[in-house]
Amino acid sequence: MLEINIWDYLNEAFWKNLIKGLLFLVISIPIILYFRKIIRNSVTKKYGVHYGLLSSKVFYYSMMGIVLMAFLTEIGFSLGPLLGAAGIVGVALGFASQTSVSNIISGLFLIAEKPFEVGDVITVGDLTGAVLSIDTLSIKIRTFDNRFVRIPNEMIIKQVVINITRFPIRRLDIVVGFAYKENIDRVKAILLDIAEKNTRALQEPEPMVNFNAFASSAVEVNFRVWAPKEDFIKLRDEIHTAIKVRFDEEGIEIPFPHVSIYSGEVTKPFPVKMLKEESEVDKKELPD
Amino acid sequence: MSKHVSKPVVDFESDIWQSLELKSEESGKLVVGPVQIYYRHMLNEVWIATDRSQLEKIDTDKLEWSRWAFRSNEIKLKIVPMMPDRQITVRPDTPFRLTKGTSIRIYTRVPTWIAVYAIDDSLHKLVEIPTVILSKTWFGDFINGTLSYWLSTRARRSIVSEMFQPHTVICTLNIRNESDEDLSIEKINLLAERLSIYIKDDQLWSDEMDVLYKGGDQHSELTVKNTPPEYASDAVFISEPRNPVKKSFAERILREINIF
Repeated sequence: MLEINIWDYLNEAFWKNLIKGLLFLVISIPIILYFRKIIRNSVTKKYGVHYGLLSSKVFYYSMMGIVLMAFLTEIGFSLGPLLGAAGIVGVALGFASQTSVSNIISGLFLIAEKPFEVGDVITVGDLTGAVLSIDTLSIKIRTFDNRFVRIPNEMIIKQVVINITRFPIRRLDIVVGFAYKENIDRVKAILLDIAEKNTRALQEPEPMVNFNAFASSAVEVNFRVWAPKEDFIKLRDEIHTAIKVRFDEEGIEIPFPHVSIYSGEVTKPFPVKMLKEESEVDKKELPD
Repeated sequence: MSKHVSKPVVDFESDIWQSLELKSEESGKLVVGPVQIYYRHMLNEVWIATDRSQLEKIDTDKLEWSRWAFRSNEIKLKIVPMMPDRQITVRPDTPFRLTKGTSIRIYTRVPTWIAVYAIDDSLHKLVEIPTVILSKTWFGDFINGTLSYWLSTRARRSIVSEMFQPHTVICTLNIRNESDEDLSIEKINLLAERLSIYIKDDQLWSDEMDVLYKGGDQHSELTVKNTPPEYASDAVFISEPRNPVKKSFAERILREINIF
């Protein structure tokens, strides 16, 4: 029978190697962390946050892998059998962790395809927020009401992602409704004047007002104004406010849904006659 | 927060572009065209606010002040003109065409920016204020274009006295059409951040520029002459360009930027 005495392995040489290995870790890990920081800062400065994070992660994980292998070799582990065992365990783990593997591969596609970068504002499903990081398994975003959201990479790959800040300018689309009695050319001129007077609105691409629909209660036009992406929210607020203020000043009615009843003639409305004062009716019908 | 500047600004004084030795607890205002700059000196602090209301009397306490603290109580303010911080798309009121072989010189005015520096034992840029807030436009296609300021111009062919305004820089552009086709000039993209400013009798002038058009399929050539135009040849250099054209860089810019 094979007898294994653990103390045969934990001999003086092992302890010496272990101390040397630990010393190696104590020295090398802070150096790696230091260089990770330097790489992140310098790459961020030159190429942006996205590449800064990416390069620092590639550097960190590859260096940590090398350090770990060196440490194991130092304390006497033979990496060959370990890697062989890892292969067998890997197959088993692979079945058990399909989702994680899928996320990792999706993450690689995200990095390669680059549909968004760190700092971009994206919409995924009904979530909109700024991308904080693109990691191995997931991306992290901060929503505008300051919630932290983790979205698995696999979901990002499968879903429609809208990158709101990819291009420097954005178009604001407003459907403006006004009463049928108003002059459509006058309304168009007023809307264009509102855009002209707003310094956030771009002169080109030119603001546009196009007919949209004869709706049930209003004539509707599409009002389209372009703005730099950083001014978009303010422009939306200012343009909507300006439309209301200006329409009030110009006496242009913004209608709400209503129904006119006609007695069959083209222009005459259905005659309605008040027979009694409302208060008298109410008084009569009120219970004692 | 002030930005420490190692390079000194040009040491030139005029009625508007001047240095102000701030006395203790002093306050006052500077008027540059349509903008009024209010300043206060309190202890070792400088307060700056701007107003564009054009009202004769305003309650200065209601202005939006910015304040900076310095190591010393002895502070000087320096007011320097600057070109706008991005390109300007200039559209002539009436678009015109240059027949082949024709050269023209046009003048256009650009509202200047005001850089306010503080000098204690070193130089600090406090703030930059546009004299006129220009609207913006997009120059180029949707993917590769550039955000620039928008300006409408009469594209005058000669200098007239009514052009002179102390808060505007007169830019001189010589355009030559060397192609075999007519050149339609609807918009001009002015690389404002690459231009120096000169002054003569309180009027600001930019570097003179030459544009050579060789045809739609060839790149136009732009040369910034680094001198004021002949009309103001004795104008004095007052402000450096934000991004000077480097010789090795200039060619690349010209390739990338479509002048018309």
